[in-house]
Amino acid sequence: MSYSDTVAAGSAGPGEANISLVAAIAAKGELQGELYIRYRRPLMQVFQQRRIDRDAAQDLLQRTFLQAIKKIRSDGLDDPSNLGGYLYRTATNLATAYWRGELAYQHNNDRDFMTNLQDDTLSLEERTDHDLLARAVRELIEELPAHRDREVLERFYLREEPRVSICESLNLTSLQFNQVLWRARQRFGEVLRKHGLSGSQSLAAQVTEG
Amino acid sequence: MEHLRFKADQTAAIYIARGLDEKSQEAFELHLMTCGDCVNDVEAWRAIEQHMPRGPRAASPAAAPAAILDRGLKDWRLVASLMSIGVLGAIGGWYGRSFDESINPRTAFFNTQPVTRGTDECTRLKFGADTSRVVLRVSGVGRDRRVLALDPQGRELAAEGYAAWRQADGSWLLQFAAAQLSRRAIRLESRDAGSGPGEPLGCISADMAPPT
Repeated sequence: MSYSDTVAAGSAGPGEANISLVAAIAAKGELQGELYIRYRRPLMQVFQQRRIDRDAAQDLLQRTFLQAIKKIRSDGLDDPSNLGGYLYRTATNLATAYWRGELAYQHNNDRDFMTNLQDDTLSLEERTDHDLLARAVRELIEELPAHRDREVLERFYLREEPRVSICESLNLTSLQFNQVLWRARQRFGEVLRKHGLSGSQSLAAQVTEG
Repeated sequence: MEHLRFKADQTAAIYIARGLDEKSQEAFELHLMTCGDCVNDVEAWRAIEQHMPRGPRAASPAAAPAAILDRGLKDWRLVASLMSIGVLGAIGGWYGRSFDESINPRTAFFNTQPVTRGTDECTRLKFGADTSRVVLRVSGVGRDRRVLALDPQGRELAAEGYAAWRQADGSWLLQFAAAQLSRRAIRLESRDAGSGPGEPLGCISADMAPPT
């Protein structure tokens, strides 16, 4: 089962899917690997958002899963249907502990997850060549139809200007600002697809549908 | 419904730009746990943010210091090595209102966004041994948060050891006595007005050059 399938199945009834998954983990069943497939990518984003580099994030990710598995097998979860919420809290707590210097850096000894890694559990950044991704972004910036769109992205991401001040200076409404972002995201999906980047098909498809 | 709202509001893009308040960020991250579509969006925006060209598009000779500041926001090690006493004079007008009389020729200025490195890998700020004061600009801090300087044990530095204030553009300036930095590493953290957890912003220490 792929990440998309897993999440799609989860979206039909995430609570029930989580209950089954927790039960499988408690019973050391075959579905245990699904925990990793389903939650690795969002948790990696949670760590990256807290400015934790990828190597340390990998370590924290393993700790998050191991902590969850131990908890499930020892005490169980109060609300198994909210497995994602439990993992999220565990991850954010570990991120805080990491930055406070409370965690000794360690290499993960449990290689089961790592050896069973599937492409679908890797983020766009991880499954794509760095230079190629950089080229795709450059292409995106150069090909944006309006100079104003480029300016918005540069000011928003490079200069970290607040949205409000960008809107005021460019005389944009909030809706227009969001449209600029939407166009950029759509165009990026097309650029990725053009380069045949792994996973770009699904990205582009989602953009088209979105 | 929540998913449609996140899509319509371009929440993934704003999340990556760190434009969400704490509550909105938590809500969105919890949503990410069950939404592959939004995870795809976040990954795409993170790729854009990380790989956006940082070339000297609009730089002119006269505007060089400001241009360095702008594009240097993402790489403070580079900027830290470039920004020093000489540049301070050039940008004095930019920060003039905040600095007032506190500018002096033995002040070293560093510009950074919150760092991306672990606390065990402190960023070393290079400045001369005759530097008396170090000023650090930190951008990308949430509107409802304030920036604190902590000792290695996590205690806030004494008030006489440093000063921190928010500028009109939302960034923070932290001023230290250079001696403070030479003695130990200093951790930076942002906190909200309540008792919520602090967000670590990294760690700095001194790399003093010998007097010339």
